Amino acid sequence: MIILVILISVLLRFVNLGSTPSGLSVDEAAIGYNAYSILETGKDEYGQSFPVLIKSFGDYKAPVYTYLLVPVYKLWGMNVFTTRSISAAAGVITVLFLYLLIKLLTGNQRLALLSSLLLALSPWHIMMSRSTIESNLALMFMLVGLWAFYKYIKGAKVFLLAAAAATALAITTYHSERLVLPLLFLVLGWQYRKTIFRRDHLGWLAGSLIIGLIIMTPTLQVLGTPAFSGRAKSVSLLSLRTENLWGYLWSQNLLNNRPLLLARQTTALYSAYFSPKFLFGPDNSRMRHLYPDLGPLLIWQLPFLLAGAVILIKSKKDRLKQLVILLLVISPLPAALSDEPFGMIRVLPLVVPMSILIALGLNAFLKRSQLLGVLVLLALVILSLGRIYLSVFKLNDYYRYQDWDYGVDQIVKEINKLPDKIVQVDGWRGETYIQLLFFTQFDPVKYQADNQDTDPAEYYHPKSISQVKQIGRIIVKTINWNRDVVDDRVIVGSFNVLNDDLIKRYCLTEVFRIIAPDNKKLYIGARTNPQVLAKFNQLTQDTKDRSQDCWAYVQKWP
Amino acid sequence: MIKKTVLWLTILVILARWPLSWAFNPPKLETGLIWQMGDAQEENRLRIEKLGLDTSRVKRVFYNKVSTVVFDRFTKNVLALLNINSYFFDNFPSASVSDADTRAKFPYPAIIGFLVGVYLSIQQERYLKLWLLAGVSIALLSLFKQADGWNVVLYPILGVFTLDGLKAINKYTFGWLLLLVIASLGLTEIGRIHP
Repeated sequence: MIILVILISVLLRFVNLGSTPSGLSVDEAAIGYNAYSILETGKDEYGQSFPVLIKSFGDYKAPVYTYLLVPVYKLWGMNVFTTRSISAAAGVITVLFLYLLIKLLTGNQRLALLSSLLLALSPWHIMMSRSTIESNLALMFMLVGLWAFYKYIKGAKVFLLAAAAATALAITTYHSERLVLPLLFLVLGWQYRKTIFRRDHLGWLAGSLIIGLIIMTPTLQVLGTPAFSGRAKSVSLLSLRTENLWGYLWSQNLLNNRPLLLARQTTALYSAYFSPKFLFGPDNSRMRHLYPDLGPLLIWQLPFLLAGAVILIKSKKDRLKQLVILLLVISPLPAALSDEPFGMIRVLPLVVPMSILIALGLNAFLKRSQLLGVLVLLALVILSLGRIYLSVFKLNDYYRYQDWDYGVDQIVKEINKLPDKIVQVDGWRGETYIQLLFFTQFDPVKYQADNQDTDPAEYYHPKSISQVKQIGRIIVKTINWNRDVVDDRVIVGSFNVLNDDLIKRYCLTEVFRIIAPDNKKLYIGARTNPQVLAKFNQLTQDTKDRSQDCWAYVQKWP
Repeated sequence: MIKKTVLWLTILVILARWPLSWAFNPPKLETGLIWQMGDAQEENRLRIEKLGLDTSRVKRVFYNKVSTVVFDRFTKNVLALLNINSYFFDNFPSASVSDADTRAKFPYPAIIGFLVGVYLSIQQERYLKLWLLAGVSIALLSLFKQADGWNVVLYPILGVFTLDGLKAINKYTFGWLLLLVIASLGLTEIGRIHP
């Protein structure tokens, strides 16, 4: 049966991975191109040798995903599929290790199977597994670490080393785990202190600490730098001004002051992570991290979740109960401390206790209803697969293509058709350059040589990053309509910044246009005509009421 | 004596906020039900939009009139009524700007009493009828197309859980101190009701 569950999880995570979600987000491209750059040169895009944190857009990404991609690119090359494959593989391994963990903790094969099946079917986990997201990889390490820890508790001492290695890797893989895992293992360590600190276990304890330290040494070296704490600070609630905190009244006093307002807002955000509305409801404000018409969990699971919670509360204290409660309490902490409501990525570990709770409810239902229960479960799984198929493989690419920056690969294809032209791409988001680097597979040596704006000694000290990037004959910068149209080049921009009216006004010639899956105009590429524009400017320089249609004006002139 | 006084003061503060918010800002209770189609054009547009990409049989099973309109409305209402933040945090953070129900209800510190009350109620069978009543109320209220305002039906049920939780806290030696904090913060929350 577990093979069937793994098969379902493989299908839902790997099928069309390179094309669905359609597009490649800037974060995915950044992780991918930096891995490619390290593979080719041993340096990241800024020319930093084997960085401990990846500077990227100044957000200093955790490094493990990037480094794991290096051998993958060496073997299979850089493309969207290979870039996402590590996350997809991590998703499948997480499903397997959840099965192993529950079986180890309870000995209940059915509960273990149900938990892993529910995780395999979770739209939340599918979404995270189908995109390049460090949090998903960290979750895998976390579950491997927990499984190894309980193996150790059950007597296999050597597994303490594996638990330490996996936990250290999880902490290094994603920023939120820096809070979740130390707290989790602090409580678990206290709980099992009699076993861990037994005299004949001290050697293993020392060994595991050494392994953990070795893995974390590079990160510890940058512990005091602004790069390490910068990300947490920028997304933290603490960065909000007091007036912007929820419920601020006009003046501060004993009952309306900053610490109290912060506590109030954190409590509200924390509580939201247990709200069925956020856990099950499709939410348009979290477009990129949710599939259309699907919430993080499937709606039919709601009654089983409530039943599971009741069963857990009523059950006697055992290892499963302790672990589920711990995960429920700790997982939302980093997310609740940030200013984002229901941050799907930061709170990803919560998907594990939620799956277990639903499995507890479903398990009790199956116990009572026997064959009928099995038939109902089968029907629900088929129904879920149908709904997931539609949302993941059809609706998402149709309705959410913009959230995944659809079309940049097509821009690159069009640019490649114009080998002799200088191309200026509008830096509409500031980070588009990285997608162009990814899809052009641009030589990192050349890119690093042309775009040196970071002193290696100052690498971990954030400063503003240049908004102008040179990628061979491609320049990425914001369009200046006075200067850029007087040079011979092809200008590329989204339809918001470069449209038919501007083409007429500046005597441009459309070269290509990229159309979205719903037939909306997305990007336009247009060639400048400096001579025609110069003529138009010359002819109209004394005219007060200057024409908005350069082509019409020039063609009318004898 | 002090314990009893603090308990009743806390209860008063906690129970006062929802009725006060109704008094300041009475909701418009709408009686339309989820299967009444209302804006037929909009509903048809939604269905056509969803079917626009793919008109296969599989899709028609999932996006028929019942599933796209009636079931979606029902589940949306159920989820809104089960949203704990709606009752204790004035619906903050709201999922989207279209969230209608941002009415002030219980002050947020009362969530402590509510959670204790829920925990105790799960352990004791005498609460079963109250749970059934809550379940039936939520199911029935979800039949309203616009459930905003109708959720006041849950006020006494949530109130009982919260009060029983507060009473349980008050049994501890220094429980009254916690209740005093809850009452003080609750008073500020009454000040936050925006008419």
